[in-house]
Amino acid sequence: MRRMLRDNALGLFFLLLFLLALGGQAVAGYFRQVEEMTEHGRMPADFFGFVLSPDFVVDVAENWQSEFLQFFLFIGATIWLVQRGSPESKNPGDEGPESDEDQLVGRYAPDGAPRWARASGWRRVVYGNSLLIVMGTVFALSWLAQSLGGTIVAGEEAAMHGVPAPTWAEYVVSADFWDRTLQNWQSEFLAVGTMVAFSIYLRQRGSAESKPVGTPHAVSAVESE
Amino acid sequence: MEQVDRGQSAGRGPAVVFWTWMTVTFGGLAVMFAIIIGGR
Repeated sequence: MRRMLRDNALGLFFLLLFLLALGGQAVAGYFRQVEEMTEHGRMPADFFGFVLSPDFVVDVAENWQSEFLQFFLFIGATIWLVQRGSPESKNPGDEGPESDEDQLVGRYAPDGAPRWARASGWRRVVYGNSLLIVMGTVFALSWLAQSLGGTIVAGEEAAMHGVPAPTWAEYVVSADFWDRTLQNWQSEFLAVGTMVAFSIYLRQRGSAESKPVGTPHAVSAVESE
Repeated sequence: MEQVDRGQSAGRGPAVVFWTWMTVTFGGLAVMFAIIIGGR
């Protein structure tokens, strides 16, 4: 059991953080809504009513979509684009999907390779892009959830002000939708860009996200050593 | 090679972590869509 926890500590650590933060977001969001409803002299929903409301869905989904977009773009861009000196990057000259020999697929697959890495045709293509496919799917579904939930919330606000509710097509070109979307995107792109750039010259001893401390600044991928 | 050997004898832990996160992610999306459909 102890070894199981140690071997999987990274995945479990972030699962715990995620659940705590989501729970905290739910509690804080509920109290914010109680304050707002009280100020407007309206009856606030109970806690579970809030957590199961489109308002909470929009708050969660707008952050999910931007995180998964970040990884989708990072995984995709690092196939074709390099940053000399960054441990997040391949070396200049290695751009592209690389050869079957480099990627250990087909007849180059070693013992213990995933079955679809050994396969040919569509299975190898799908498995060889499965990380990008799943990240892109979660991004697209989260963004769709944000837009659908946002349409409902905008409709509720419109009803309070006695104006017509927007349709989904109207909401996805609205200022609210793009304000929520782009405020999340900008922070994700900032975080990725700084990670790529800062790690050229800065180090964290012992971290898998850093080059070894003594690695020259111009060396990109650790694998190139 | 040492890492490969350890990975192959790591038991079910990595699979549990992988499917837990898959369940959290797609389960979370399913709940979100259920709330949206219920709220229309």
